[in-house]
Amino acid sequence: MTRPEGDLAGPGPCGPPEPRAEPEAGPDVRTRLLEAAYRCIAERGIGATSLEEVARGAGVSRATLYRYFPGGRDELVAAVVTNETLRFFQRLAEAVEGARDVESLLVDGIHFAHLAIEGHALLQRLLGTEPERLLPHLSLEAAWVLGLITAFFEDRLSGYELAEGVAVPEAAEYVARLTLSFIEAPGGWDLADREQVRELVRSELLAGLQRRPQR
Amino acid sequence: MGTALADRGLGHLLTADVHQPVPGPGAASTGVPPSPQASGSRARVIDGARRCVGRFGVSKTTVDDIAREAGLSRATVYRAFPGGRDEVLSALVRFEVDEFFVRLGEHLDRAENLEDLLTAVLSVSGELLAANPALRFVLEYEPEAVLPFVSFHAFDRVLAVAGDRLLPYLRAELGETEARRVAEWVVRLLFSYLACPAGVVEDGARRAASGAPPLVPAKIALHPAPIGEERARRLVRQFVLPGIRVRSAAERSSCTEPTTD
Repeated sequence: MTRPEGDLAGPGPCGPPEPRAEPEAGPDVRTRLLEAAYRCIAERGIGATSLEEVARGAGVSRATLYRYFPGGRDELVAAVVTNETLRFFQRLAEAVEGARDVESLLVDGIHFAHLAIEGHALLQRLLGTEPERLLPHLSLEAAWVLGLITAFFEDRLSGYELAEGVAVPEAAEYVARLTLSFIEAPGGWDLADREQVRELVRSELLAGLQRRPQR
Repeated sequence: MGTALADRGLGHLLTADVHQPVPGPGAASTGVPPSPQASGSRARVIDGARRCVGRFGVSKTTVDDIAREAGLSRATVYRAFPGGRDEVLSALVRFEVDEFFVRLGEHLDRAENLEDLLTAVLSVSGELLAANPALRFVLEYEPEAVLPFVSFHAFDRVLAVAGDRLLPYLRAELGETEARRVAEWVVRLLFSYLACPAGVVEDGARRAASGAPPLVPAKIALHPAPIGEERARRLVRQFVLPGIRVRSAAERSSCTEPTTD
């Protein structure tokens, strides 16, 4: 089932779904539960999302929901957040796939990610209405996300001519940390402006990585 | 637990007021010059509040706790802070932020060059924050109390405040615009390491590379660890300094901004 990321009005209501023929078991159930939970959160917010409604929305019993998410609502919300985070970074990877060099990769990536975050309706709404419920989940993810981006850059930097004494892993981690920081908050930069993003990438991300010309 | 701080009237924390130095004791809330007793009381209340938060956290700290800890009556506390608990906590945050910059400033004053200065911002800040018992308690047991003030759009505010506070140390050498840019840049690194200490990323990268899903711990608790002077210096020297435009002697004497090549 595809859904535009950040979409507030996902397919199907928060309430009971159409009658289904599927059994209450199998990998599909977990997906249905996550999608039902997403819809409920989009409609009601995190605090008002009831496990009853999520189970109904997925066409399963509460008992089944607890089998998949024994940790209850906390675990369910954590899983939804993880899922959405994964989808975001998959889209980001696709957006930068055609980049011809590391500089373009970073410019395309930061530009895309900034717009995607600003335009993610549900994220922005929850940041306004229930930041204290959402943010702890996001910060739990942070180390894993950082690892993901670092691994991605380790791949992309292997062909790059790094400055003397700079190793790929440390360069990748440095770039990953800053990239993630810029995705979260633009600070004094207008990241919708590709020229500013390019300026930022050149001076703050790549200046220390580039092999400096011999004097 | 988890009630939005905004509900408790603390939504203004870390907004425009915070980076102004705390005005004379007592003057902030009423505009009336304090009596000698009142200024002493204010300091005791703030001190008591800090100890309470370090022990029970923000949401469980009451005016009675604060009064008891400060060795004052409830009435005295309310005379010094008519806004009650929220006003005390607000003053505590402002006080802690000021204290932090005073202590950081002592190290920055001793820096002999840009590299030392920026290294100190990274390493000393981390140490100061990790050593603050009130902050440590809140981050470990009530992270939801702090995160809304340092995440996403709120982080823009943190960067702006950091820029203001670090400007005096950087302006002479870099000019105003570059000074602010560099200050923000370094604070981004600082917060990145506070949120994800070094070792943690390596584990994450290994898991991500193997395709394994993230290990999400059951308990939401943050334990920021300082960067360490050696790693901080490495970051500054290798990744930050090469991207900084320092003003030439000519630019400095004529007080112009650095030219971009």
